[in-house]
Amino acid sequence: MSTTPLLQIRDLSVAFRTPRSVVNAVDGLTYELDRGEAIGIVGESGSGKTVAALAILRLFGLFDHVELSGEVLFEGRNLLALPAAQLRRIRGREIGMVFQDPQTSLNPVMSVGDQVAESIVYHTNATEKAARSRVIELFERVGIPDPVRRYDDRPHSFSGGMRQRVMVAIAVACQPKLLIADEPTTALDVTVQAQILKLLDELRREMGMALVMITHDFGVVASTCDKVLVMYAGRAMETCSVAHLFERANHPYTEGLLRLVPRFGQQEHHRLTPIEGQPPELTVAHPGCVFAERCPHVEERCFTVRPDRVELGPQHHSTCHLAAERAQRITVAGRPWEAVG
Amino acid sequence: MSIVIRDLHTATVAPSSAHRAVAAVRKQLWLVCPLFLMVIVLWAVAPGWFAPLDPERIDPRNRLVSPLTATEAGRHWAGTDQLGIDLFSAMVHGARLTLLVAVAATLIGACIGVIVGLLSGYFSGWVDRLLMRLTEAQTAMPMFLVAILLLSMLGPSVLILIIVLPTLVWPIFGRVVRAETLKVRESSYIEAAVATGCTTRAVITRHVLPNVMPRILVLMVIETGHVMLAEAGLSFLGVGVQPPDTTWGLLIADGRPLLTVAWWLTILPGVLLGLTVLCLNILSRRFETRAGAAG
Repeated sequence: MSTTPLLQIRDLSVAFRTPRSVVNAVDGLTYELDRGEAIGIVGESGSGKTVAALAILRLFGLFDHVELSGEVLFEGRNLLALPAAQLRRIRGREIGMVFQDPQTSLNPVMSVGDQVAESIVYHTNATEKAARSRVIELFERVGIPDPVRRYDDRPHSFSGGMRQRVMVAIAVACQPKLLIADEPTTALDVTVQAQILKLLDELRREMGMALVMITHDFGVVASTCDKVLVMYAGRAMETCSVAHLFERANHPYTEGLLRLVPRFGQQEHHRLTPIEGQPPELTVAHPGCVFAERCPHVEERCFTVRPDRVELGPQHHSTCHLAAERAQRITVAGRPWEAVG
Repeated sequence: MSIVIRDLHTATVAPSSAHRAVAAVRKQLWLVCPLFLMVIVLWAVAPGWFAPLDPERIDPRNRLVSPLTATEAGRHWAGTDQLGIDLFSAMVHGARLTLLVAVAATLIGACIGVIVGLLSGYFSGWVDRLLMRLTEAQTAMPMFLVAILLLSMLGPSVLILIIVLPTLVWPIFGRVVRAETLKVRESSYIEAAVATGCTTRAVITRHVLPNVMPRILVLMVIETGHVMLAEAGLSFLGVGVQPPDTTWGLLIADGRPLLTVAWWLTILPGVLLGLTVLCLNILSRRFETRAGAAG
């Protein structure tokens, strides 16, 4: 086993150019992911988490005016600089993707079996027949009842949960090394969410896949991921292992988010405290920290100097001027909100 | 007074069985269209089975016989022309070339239009701008006049007709397919297909085209009718199909000088052509609402 991580994202920036302005959807994102490891990317709507994931496979329209910079190293190859033909060999083969809405992510006029087989035939040169039996195996594995008969059915006769199982089957059909799941459970109801998450987790362990899980739910992260990346307004705020997230969360934004997770055992009249203010405009330049305007611990330098990514321990980074002193205070005094609850 | 009110009441709440039967028949009335078109297609496939007489058989004794008249050759359902040729038999035999020209020209037009529309809609940008300007230029050209010019210069022929007529319809296919492609392209299943490693070509042919297909089929049905009218127009002006080949348009043209003495020579082929186009229109409208409801 080599020591280089499976996926290294270095200083990734994605900007959309419109006739009047430039939207910096992702700005200077850096993280690493080892083989078989799972990372949860958490952030509010519009924080750039989906765009950051799409950028890994350069899944942007041909004529979208997208400007990508930085590096996405997958097994040492920079995917951002790879020719389109080679990138196609990686899409679906080495990196699989599960999309948010299973209602619209399947072609309505093609049988579900053929949609899974398409990827197998394309990437492995399997015969139609071999692909068919492989698809039936996959359907069985992802929990689609009566796969032989269901193979030729069209997506409209499947429920949301079953469609998402089909999407998962497509994503893992070629046993990829990395699976990107973009809010895979957002469009599903709660019981089905749990089933899909369990399925993803099982498949990941069986196939030794690494996982990038995009979500806005800390519960999903806690149950399926090894570490978490918190994004805000296109920038990484903090990366931390899931095991230490609650006691060591350092960044004021992460802290603010964690305050918003309702927990059992809290006092009856305990109120969740929202983060005041609105996310910043992404079309204007932010010389300092993007969270400065809403941060309760803001200082003058936060508006003018962009904070560095500070390493606070193994797998723990925070992008905050106050990171070091906060880390010290947190280890001494414990979490501020735990006294309240 | 009270009796009248009670009668009204029963009439509106519980319609009589006769009313219901009428409503049911009206609802299924459109079925006449495919049946009618089927008959026309059968005429085209095997005119010999349906035409009572040989359409080239001249009968000088029974010239300009009015419809439904019986002579020693048989009953002339649609009368005869100035040479004594049975008009009904001529119309049956004319169906073949009329349909052939209309369907072939529509198919060619559809192929060009679909390719233009798919490329234009999927790629956007300069490809779209170039192809759409081309489409507009084609629409702006009075192709009917160009057709007359070409056919009168090169001499009338069915082949040139089949080459010229598609220019009337491909811009329509191009624009409709482009609009549909723009819609389909934004679907997440297209993004998902790209994410599984499909080539652009595979995405367009396997994922975009099948989703645009219902729209194309509807348009093909209605445009076949339009092309049929255009062909009739060209044949009427004498630059389309030439005798001894015959189409309905040509029959109308042949009857025109005799309109005052033998109305049926113009009116009956005209009605036949009109009914066929009408049936195509009704059918395509029917498909369109069904496709809309399904999609």
